[in-house]
Formats: sequence, C-alpha cells, structure tokens
Amino acid sequence: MNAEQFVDRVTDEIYARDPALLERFGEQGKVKCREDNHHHLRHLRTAYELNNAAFFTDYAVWLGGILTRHGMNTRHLLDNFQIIEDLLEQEPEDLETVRYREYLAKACVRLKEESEKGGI
Amino acid sequence: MEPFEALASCLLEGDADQAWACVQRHPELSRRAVYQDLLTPAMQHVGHLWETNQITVADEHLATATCDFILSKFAFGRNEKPSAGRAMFLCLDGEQHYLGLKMVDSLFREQGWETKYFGPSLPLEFALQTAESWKPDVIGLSVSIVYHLPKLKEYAEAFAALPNKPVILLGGRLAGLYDLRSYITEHTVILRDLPETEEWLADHETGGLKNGRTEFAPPPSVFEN
Repeated sequence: MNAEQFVDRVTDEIYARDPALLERFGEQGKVKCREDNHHHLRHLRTAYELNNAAFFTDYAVWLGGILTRHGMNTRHLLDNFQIIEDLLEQEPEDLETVRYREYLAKACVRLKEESEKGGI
Repeated sequence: MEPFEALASCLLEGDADQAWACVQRHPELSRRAVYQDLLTPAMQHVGHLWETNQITVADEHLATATCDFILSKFAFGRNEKPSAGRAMFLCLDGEQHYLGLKMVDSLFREQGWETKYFGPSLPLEFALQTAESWKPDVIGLSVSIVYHLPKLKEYAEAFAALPNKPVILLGGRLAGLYDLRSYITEHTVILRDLPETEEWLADHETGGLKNGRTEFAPPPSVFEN
C-alpha cells in the first residue's frame, strides 16, 4: 500500500462526507487531518509488525482523550477509523490489511467503551 | 501547590534561574531523587497540560529546553578519574524524547562512569561505529514512541554481536508500559525507571546481578487514568 496515496484518499473521503469541516478548519485543517492519518497508519503498521493490537488500541484511546479535550468529539475519530476501514476493503486483501481492519475494529470498541465511561 | 508544579511553572516560563532555585530548595534530595521526584513529575505535568489543551506546543518546547538546561547544570563538571567503566547512551533512530536518557547518563557519571551521551535519534550505523572503536561496557537505549519500536530488535541484535559483549540496557517511556522482552535479545536488561537504574548501578558496583528483571509486571495503564 502506498501510504501517501492512501492517506490522501482517506482525507478526501473525510472532507467529502463532511464538507462543513472545510468551512470550520480551512485548508490548514486538511493538512492536520493528513498528518493525523499518517500517524494512524504508522501505529497500525507498528501493531502489525510487532503483532500486538495494543500498540494501536492504546494509541487510539490516548488520542481520543486529547481530541476530546481539544474540543473534538470521539465521533470524529470513530468516523475517521471507519473511513480507513472502508478504504482498506478496496485494497487487495492480504494479511496486513486484514490485521489493520481487526485493530481498527478493536480500537472503535475501546473508544466507545471509554466514551461511555466518561473517560474521553 | 506541589513542588513539582512550582518547578513546572518555572520551566514553562523558560526561567532557568528560577527553576534552578526551585531545585536548590531541596538540598536533602539526591540527584536521583531530584530527577525522579521533581523534574520527571514536573515534565509529566507539562505533558498533561498540553494534553488538556492548557498550553501550546511552543510552551512545551520551552519547558523541555529549560529542563534540558537544568539537567546539564546538574551534570556539569569533570568526573575525577572515572573508573567504574564506559557507557554510551542513545535514542533509537527518529526518537526525539531524550530527557530520561540524559538523566540516566548523569546517574552513571555520578557513579564514576566514563560516558558518551548522544541525545535524540542516533541511526544504528553511527552508533555501531562508535561502539566498535570506543568499546563501551554498557550501551543504554531509549525508546518512547511506539512506532520506533520495530527498530529496537535490530539495535539490540547489532550491539549484542559486538566482540566486547557490552551489557545492553533498555529504558524510556515504553519500557514501563509494555513487556518489550520479545523485541530485544535475551541479555538485554530492561530498566523501567530511575530507581531500577540506581538499583542496577548498585548491583553492578557490588558485582551482583546484571541481567535485570526476568518477569514483567505491567503497571496500571496510564491510558485509563
């Protein structure tokens, strides 16, 4: 998978699904969104290479906490992860993409649990 | 206000004189205790303030730079005839979090070690060049960000293969959070914090255990706090 191209596709999809984001955060928001998604992919790759889902799920919960305290909603992160999952479905299926989707699903469960507990 | 919070305020102001005065108010503390009980919680507090949107990235960088200065001031001065051994300390390639490593370097120097401290992000090839020519007894590695972990094994294996067989120590934020034993060589010693480092140094001095912990008891996840 070409990370640059994949992140561009994820970013385009995020802004296509919610055009109000561009009005709210401007072009700079898009740049940040792209950076965030590179971070997501780096953590997914690390979890895969080290065969440990916790490296991604812990990161997701930590990030969810930070985003919430910076005025975002957990929903933004959940939607972002969902879009990555959706676009991964369109990639040729191999062990790496299968694992990525597993980690994303686990992270979403953790985020929802933490959100319900009021942790994030 | 706790002492570490007062210190954090000075660090965030970039006021090295006041920060130094804060530290000097506790002459009863050992160097390790200053690092463990003042500077570390102060910087953790700075991290918390950033995470909770109370300070900016620029504030955090100013605090880091000021803390770095305080650490340098603490460790400044030539060790008279260092005799305990040679140790080199480095962060994995890409890793920018070096303050803990600098504290460890300082503790080694205090105990009479001759050291080389490389700060953040040292690519393996350059670390190996120095290790091959300088032949340290100890090589200390630090890793704090998860996506630098895949390189850890490569570093640990390369250093373990050196002809003079240095002891390899591993620390950094991740060493206290995860069981990293699968990503290192059998003889790498994991030091999860400064007290464990101090313990290792004391054991080494008395010729005791050098192989560190054999079991991993994970602390409560910080992510749940």
